[in-house]
Amino acid sequence: MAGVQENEGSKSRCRTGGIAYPANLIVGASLPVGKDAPLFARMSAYIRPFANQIERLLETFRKIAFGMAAHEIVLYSTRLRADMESLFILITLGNLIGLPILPPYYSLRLLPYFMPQIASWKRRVLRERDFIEGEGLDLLG
Amino acid sequence: MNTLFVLIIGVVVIYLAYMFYAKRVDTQIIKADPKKATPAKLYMDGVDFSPTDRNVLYGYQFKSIAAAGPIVGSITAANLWGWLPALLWLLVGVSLIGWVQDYAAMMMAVRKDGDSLTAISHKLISPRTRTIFLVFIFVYLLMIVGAFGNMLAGTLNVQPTVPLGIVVLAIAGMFAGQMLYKWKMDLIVTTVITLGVTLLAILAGPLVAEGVRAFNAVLNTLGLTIYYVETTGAVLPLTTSYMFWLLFTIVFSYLGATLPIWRFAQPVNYISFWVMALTIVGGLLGAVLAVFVKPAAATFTLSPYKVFDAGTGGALQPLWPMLFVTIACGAISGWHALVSSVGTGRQLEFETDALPVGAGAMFSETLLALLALLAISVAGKLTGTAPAMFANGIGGFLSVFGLDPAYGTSLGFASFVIIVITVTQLALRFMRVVLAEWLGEMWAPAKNIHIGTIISAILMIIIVLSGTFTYLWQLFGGANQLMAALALMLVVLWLVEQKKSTTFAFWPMLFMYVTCIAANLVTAYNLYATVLLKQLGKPELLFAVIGAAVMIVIAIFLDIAALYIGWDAWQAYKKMKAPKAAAAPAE
Repeated sequence: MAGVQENEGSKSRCRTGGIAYPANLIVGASLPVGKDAPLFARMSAYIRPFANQIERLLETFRKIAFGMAAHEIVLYSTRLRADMESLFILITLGNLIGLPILPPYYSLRLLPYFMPQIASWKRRVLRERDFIEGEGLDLLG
Repeated sequence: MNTLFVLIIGVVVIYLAYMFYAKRVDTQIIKADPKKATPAKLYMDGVDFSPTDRNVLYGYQFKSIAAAGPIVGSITAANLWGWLPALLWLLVGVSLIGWVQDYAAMMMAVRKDGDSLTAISHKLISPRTRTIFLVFIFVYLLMIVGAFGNMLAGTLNVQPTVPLGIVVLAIAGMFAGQMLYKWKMDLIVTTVITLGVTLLAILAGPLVAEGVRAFNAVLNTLGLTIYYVETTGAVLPLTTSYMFWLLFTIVFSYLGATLPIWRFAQPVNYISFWVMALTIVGGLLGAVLAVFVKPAAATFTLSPYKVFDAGTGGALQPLWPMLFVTIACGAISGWHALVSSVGTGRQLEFETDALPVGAGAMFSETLLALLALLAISVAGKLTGTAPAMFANGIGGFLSVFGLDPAYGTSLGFASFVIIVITVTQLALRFMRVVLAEWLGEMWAPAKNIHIGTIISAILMIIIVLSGTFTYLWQLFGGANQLMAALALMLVVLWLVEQKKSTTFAFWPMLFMYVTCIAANLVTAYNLYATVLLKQLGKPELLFAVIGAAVMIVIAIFLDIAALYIGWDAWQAYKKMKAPKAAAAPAE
């Protein structure tokens, strides 16, 4: 469905000078653009496939560079935040994993706010961990 | 022979191995299925288990596995046996063994709910395998801090242009941590400021060289000198200034080991990544362009093949098995299996991403090792230490862009030292973590971060002051490659359990297992023949003798531990193959 919409979108973007170019021309190689089409439209029809490819290539490089340089920072920041949230949920809803900490009244009052996180929090807190996890294993090449 | 030709050979071999071997294993044996839910989706917690784009993961995996290892190993091996054996092992090793381990360890973790390698070994082989893995990791780390500490102290001592860059890197790293995590500054702004300052300091290194040289001379007047035995059998001094720079390295690493990761270790790692990346990209481009622009800088001067047994002074250095542990990362490395299982494997969005991420990153790491090999091959006529030859080669490549070779060499030295010191601080950090895990239950103080780090640092000093770099490096390679063989052993057992073909993992495992056990025995013999046998009883060589004895014990222990795991794996295999007992009839 998404593909169809994309093709239709591409077709409509190329509807210039009264000529509707088929979708295959947008991504294809041979481009018999009509002589009556404006110069810009004809040029863009030729250039667009290459421009799209270059754009995709640049996007790939951007992601790889991000992965090399910043992904570990993002992971660590997320981990720091998750640890703090985890601790807070533990203080308030510890009874869910067998640690009776707060009287149930307060836990129940806070429960609705934590509902979306309960499942992933339990998985995170209760899963078995390897001893070097979270110590920057990924930093040591 | 020139740099471009070797690069083309390398790229073609890697392409063929990826397209026609790795892809075949992925689709026909492992049968990666994009429709199967990965642990990242099944257990998504937004932190450790989190589906991530494969391009991002590829960059992350490459960064996680590629550091000083591929550079140092290639240089050391080319120096001993010539560039041709090193090149052949890099290309054949990565094509038949290296990618198999990284990729298969990742897929095994994915299919085993994101379990770590140690947890899988506990389940597939036996509980004691996990403990043995723990000891392997500790020895691996001890040898890496020993080898790198030795190299760092030596380079900082004889290269007065380098220390300024390292001091500024430490300060810039602290600032980067503060700016990112406390002041919440933009990553790009932080990068530009801290990286810019560090690069300026590196380039300004020659300006303060005279001052550093004078400082070293003053230190050496104190006359605190001890001696060690070189691989040639020669007895050489370690001067006071050497010990000062060793202490400097340890203080730097101590900060990395005890401060929170965000405060020091990670930002220092981040800045050093950019310094190294600039050097690698510039070096690779220079190596390609040099053929056309400055052919002299691209022509190999190192001998392609020197001798089968490169041992001197009573030591043995036969090509087999020693080449295969001297070049570890770049061809195959056990550490990658840990990263693949605990780190990247838990973030794969689709099973089909494991090939480009795991195998792709491993093949790319080989290119880094190739760069180091090219650098030393063109600088082969020069004499000096491995870092010096690497830096001179890089200086030559960068001179293609009009950069003064003196500055290019300075950048080569600095980037080399930066990447090595970054790894050393992280290795010391892991050593204290492993100590806490290993001894913490029996002796509570081992859990204290300062006590754990101090014990690790003392062990590091003993190893550095006692051993030659080559033996330390080869023992590190032995531990690392044995870990790889054991990871492959796990993969084989997993494949047997899944009733899949094991050929592509079994033969590499067998080769690495036998080779590493033999290599550790050769290293033990070398230490015995060149140090213990000849220098026992000489007071000025006390450190050398103690260190050699410790390293011999470690080498033998590694082999015995590997035999234990091999035996346990054989038992586990027989159990898997044994016909299941028929269910008892219902009464």
